[in-house]
Amino acid sequence: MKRSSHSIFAIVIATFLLAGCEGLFLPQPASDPEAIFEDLWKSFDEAAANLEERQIDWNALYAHYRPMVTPATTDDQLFTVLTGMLAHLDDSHVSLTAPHQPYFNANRVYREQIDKDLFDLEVIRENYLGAGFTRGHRYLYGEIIGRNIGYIYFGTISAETMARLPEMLNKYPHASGYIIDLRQNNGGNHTFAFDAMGRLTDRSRYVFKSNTKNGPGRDDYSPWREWHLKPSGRYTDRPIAVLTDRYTPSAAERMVMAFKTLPNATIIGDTTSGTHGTKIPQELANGWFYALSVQKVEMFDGRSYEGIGLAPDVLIRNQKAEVRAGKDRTLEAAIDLFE
Amino acid sequence: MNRTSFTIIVLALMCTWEAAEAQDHRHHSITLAGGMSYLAHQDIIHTPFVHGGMSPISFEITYRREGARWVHFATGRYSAHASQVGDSFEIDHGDHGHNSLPHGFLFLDAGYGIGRTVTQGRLHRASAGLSVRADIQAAFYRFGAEENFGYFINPGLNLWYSRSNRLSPRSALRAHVEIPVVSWLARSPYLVNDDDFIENISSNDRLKTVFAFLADGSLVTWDRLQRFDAGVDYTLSLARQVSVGASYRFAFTRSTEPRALIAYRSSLHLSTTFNL
Repeated sequence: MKRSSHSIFAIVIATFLLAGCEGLFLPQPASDPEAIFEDLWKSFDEAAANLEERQIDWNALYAHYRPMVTPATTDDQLFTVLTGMLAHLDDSHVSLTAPHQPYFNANRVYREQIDKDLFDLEVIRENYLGAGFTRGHRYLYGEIIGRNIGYIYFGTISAETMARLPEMLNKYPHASGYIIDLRQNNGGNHTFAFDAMGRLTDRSRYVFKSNTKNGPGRDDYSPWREWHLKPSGRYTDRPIAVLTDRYTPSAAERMVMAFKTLPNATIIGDTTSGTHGTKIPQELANGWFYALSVQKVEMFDGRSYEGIGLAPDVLIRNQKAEVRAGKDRTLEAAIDLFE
Repeated sequence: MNRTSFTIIVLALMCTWEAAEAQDHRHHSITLAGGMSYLAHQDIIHTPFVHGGMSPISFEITYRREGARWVHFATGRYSAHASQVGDSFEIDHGDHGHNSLPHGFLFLDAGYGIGRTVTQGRLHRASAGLSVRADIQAAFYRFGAEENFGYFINPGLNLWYSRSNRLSPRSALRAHVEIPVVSWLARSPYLVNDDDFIENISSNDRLKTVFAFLADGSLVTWDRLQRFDAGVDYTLSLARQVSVGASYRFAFTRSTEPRALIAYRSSLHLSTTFNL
């Protein structure tokens, strides 16, 4: 009885001892201002991709900004220093979120909302689409009034929105052309786009390759992985106009890359955002959040357009006064394309 | 050891059970337990911080069949936790805002074991055997407007040892410990989502996604994954068919690839056992 009781109690005590072993964990970053700065800088140093593509000397930025942070630095001051440093990246996948501060996006166009009012979906819905349009969360499609042209807008690249592309193609199978509007898009997952675009290609087309940081060293990346646009479903070779602007980022840009492989597609509008790698969010010891980009992407032509964006085939920018008056010059250029 | 060998071991386990069934007088019971669970969880893939804390969402169901020589059991456990660094705050997006949310952690564990009596006396019984167990952990890391999904899927073959002591005509105490022999481990990639992850989630079908994650895993032994599960159960018989009790569970996990994950969970449950 004694020996068996001892066995049970030994297991019980060992269990409780292990239950109290906080020392098992790795050291956690501290929450004082200097530790916060060091943690953020080191995280970007080890995990951010595209520092070379964006011509960033991250060590030089450390030397410049680190002296501005002391143990007496306030939250407001720390936020100013960190956002000042991150702004050099000019990357819409880089952000900083803190209490009582506006959400910070490192890309100047996004942060200052430059030309944000040059696109208004309601202008399109009211003035260019016929009555039988279909609308849902982050998508809108219909037929251009008086023209045999199908139009579809995507606000995000998701399974739900991309499922509307074949819907639109089926609804207007005899259209003289299709307009695919990717302006002011939130990005998402490009695999949904590539699946939906299967009807737009008659053969497999190489679109881009990507790799992901997989270690703390500057050259620690996974092997390159190629992404192809593959045919599926009933093929259509109608002319396609793709509308883009500076707010076409991420998965939407990868979708634009796929359209660039199609001989019947024309890109109209403004240069895209230039944000191609996937992003991951992280947290700091003071409860703030940040995000960074961790992938490199090269398009089928062997070049990286990170920080540059994808230039359109036809450069057109809307005018503010015209949009207010109900006119979308970029859309009209696409409509004229099919004349 | 490859996948074929692993499958053969599992099938052999099940065949052994079938043979054993034919020769034993059996006592069946189902135990339902619920209570509190404490989590301490650090997954460097997603965050350097230790997350966790106390949660009232912790449940367990166990079926036991005990004969003179053979013991087998099937268990299912579930617990859910929420945790964050600091307090929630409103995120200012200019024309709209929303509050930051805590991270969410879900733990689902299911296992089946079979073993044989090792020693037995008037007041005690010790058993040992093998079990197959699947540990599925889903983490929803919420960083303001952004969110990461983290996964840890670990089906495997374990060794277990159990010892029970009768404390009085109506009460008993049982201790149980389980450690892995070999298992299959699938975890989130080094920096949360790489190209394989993006492709795995592209089906938009949860079951297909889980199997895609599993397929990207690898076989691991103790050198790459350290796990330890232990428990203590106290039961008090109220009637021939019903017992009540309390149980304590402790689960420890340490994995180093692709980055460190260190976690433990302590659960304290109240239980009711129905003797069938």
